[in-house]
Amino acid sequence: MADVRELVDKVAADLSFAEVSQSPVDVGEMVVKVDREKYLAACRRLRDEFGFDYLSFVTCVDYPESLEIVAYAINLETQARVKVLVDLSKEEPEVDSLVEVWPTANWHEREAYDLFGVVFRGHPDLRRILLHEKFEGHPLRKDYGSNPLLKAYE
Amino acid sequence: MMQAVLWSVLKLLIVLTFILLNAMLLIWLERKVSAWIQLRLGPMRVGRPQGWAQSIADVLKLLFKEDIVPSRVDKVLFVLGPIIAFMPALMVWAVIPFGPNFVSADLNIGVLYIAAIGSIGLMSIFTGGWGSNNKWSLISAMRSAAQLFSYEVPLVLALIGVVMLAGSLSLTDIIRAQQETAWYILYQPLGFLVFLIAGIAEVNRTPFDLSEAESELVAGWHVEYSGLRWAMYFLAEYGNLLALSALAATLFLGGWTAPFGLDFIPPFVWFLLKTYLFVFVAMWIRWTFPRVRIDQLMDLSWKFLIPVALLNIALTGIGITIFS
Amino acid sequence: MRELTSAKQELHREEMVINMGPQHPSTHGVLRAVVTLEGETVRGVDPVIGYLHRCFEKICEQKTWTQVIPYTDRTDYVAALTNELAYVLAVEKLMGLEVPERAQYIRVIMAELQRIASHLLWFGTFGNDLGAFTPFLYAFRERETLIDIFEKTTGARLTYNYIRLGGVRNDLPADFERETLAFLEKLEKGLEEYHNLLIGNAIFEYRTKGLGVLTAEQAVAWGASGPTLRASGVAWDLRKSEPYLVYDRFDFEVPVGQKGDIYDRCICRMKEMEESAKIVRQALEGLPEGDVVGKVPRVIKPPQGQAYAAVEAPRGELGCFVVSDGGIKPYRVKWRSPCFVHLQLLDVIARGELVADFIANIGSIDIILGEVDR
Repeated sequence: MADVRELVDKVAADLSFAEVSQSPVDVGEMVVKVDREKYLAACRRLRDEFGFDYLSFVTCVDYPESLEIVAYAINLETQARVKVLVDLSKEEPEVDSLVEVWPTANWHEREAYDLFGVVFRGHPDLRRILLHEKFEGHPLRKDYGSNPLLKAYE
Repeated sequence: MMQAVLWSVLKLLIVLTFILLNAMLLIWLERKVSAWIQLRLGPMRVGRPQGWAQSIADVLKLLFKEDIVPSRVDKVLFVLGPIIAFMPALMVWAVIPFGPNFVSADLNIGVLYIAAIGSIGLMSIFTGGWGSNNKWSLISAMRSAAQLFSYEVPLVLALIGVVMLAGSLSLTDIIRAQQETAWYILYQPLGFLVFLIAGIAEVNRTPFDLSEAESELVAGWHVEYSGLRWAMYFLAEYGNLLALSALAATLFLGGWTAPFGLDFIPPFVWFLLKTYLFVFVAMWIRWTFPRVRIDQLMDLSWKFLIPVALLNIALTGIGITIFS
Repeated sequence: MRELTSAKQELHREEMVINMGPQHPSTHGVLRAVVTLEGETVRGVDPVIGYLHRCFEKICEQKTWTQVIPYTDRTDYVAALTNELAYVLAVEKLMGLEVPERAQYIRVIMAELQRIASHLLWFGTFGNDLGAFTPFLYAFRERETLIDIFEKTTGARLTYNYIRLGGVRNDLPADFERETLAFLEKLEKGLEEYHNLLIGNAIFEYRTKGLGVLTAEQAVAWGASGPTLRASGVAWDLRKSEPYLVYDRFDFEVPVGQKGDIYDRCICRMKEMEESAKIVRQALEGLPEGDVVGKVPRVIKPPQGQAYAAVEAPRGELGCFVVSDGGIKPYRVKWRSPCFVHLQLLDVIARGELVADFIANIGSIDIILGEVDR
């Protein structure tokens, strides 16, 4: 099991634009909060410089004020894990796609688009994955309508 | 003259009934054998001891099903498919001897006739698959055309060794020759092996059932067929299996002749026993092995079976020259 | 003459787009694969999923923390206990709950028995895909014994609802150890039989060796995990790299392949069954006495925050990412399903191979649509 305390300092020095900390519930997990513009650069840096070559998942959480993108990557050699958090506004939920950095992000981002409506710029094939193509709305958002069945078939 | 013709027709009718009854028996036997190999019981309810009436129930059910001809199929080919499948399965039996005096048509070109009729059956899968106007059936039809055509060659080549030894194409002559010398399986082990493998491929049974390939092509060429048309394809398949086994028994195991002089058992029973031995072996193989792939199948035929069959012919020729 | 040569160079090839529809004997559930074929060669694969989508993640937000556990069973219904484990570990991480040692050992035993059950099912269905219909029934003969053991312990055959926050629901029945050891003996004989029947068969080797090759770089870049990743030569197993529960106390090996072809993936899974049997034996020997549930508050209200816990499921890294807002219901549950990630791999490994290999590829990845679609 890795302890990322030292890694946190190194990454904080390298990614000056990010807030880097150790997760309060998990000593092996590092939390990196970045702005939307620096998201792709930060992820690329984490992969190239710090060896986080394995992406576990990319998902989204619908908070009252914002949509938060969570990208979770692992360094297979040191077993360190990093959680990259980006806040997006609900009116304009757009962010860069991570497909160039980790090809596996493809379907994760499609799912986030499908269920939350987040648009990933630069994604090669952004279309719905779990719901059918003519579905309207993004169900996992907290404000998804009270009678979704009617909405989908209108 | 009239009597001879009537006698021929009677023999043909008997053979026809025999085939149909046996095909139904084979359906039940396959389900039972597969069940026992798979640690199950198989049909048990329809007909109390071991579900013997299951085949009758199945055939009745298929007879009463709605005859569906999908609207977009090629109607002529769609209807023709099962007919082309069924006819050769029946026609082959005309030359197979059941006993010393019981052969429907003692043709002196018996083996050639069988090879020719067998080639007609090849077209049945292709006709049905193409006529179904369905991508899956199309793949299956292409595969079957390639497969059946490739395996015709080693099958016929394996027969040549037997013909060389017996000196005749007539099946009754071949049996008589085996009575004088010994069963040809002893003289033609290579030929027998090639015949068995090519034969199982010709009858479309696992490990060579690529055209059907349930797990890949759903049902291959017969996916659009239902009811009696489908039943005809399947009766034809079992008829073919039976014909192949009967042929193997006739050509390599002496047909209706009794081994070790056990003459008190009638020849017809010996014939049945030997045929069903091969049927059982074919079923055993089916439920044990996985399926080969189409290119591996073609490799097996062209790169292995045909050279071995040719080698067999050469060795037989040398053997005949040395020992006669 | 110029026209002739240019006509020769543009040999017209037709590509056929075929739909391996949601109903198909070999797509292991309702997977739809839109395959572009050129003759029998696969030129592209587009898996279409969502036919088994049951809104799992949305439902989790409407139920209390404990009520979510039966829903997790139904994602990967073949290895249900592993799902419960992933969710429960994530919530326990968030709450900082202590789990008594006996419960940890029981969880390990259950998880490893689940792995064996899942691989047995995979073995049977993979044989079916290749056309060998008999191994399926032989594998299920063993699996039935195992399911009986599960039924005696948890009360259910397929979806157990057994692991709870802070421990497990009830203690093991009295004859659990005897029956499990008897089963493991049967399993050894069974594995030998499977080798003789299918794995050692020449036709099986023709159908699996050198096909569906996934290199180590591709596997890591595409997020593969479990036997799919290890067959490509990457020795990553969560039980060894980030030991959870009490896995660090057991002596077992993790089979790693070399070439990343279908055959290696199969051998990895067969060997994993043997290793799981080892772990179960060791766990049964060292099983301590004690409670099976720790101190858990009456009303579960994890503090605000996020936590992620991953377990080594039979299919790969199964993870659960939970977000809590301090209430009695989860705010967000994200299910990181290994099969979801592996389906993307189909396009990578199936290109340039034949249709029959495509079926073998799907089987070798070992997907369960319940987990993919949630």
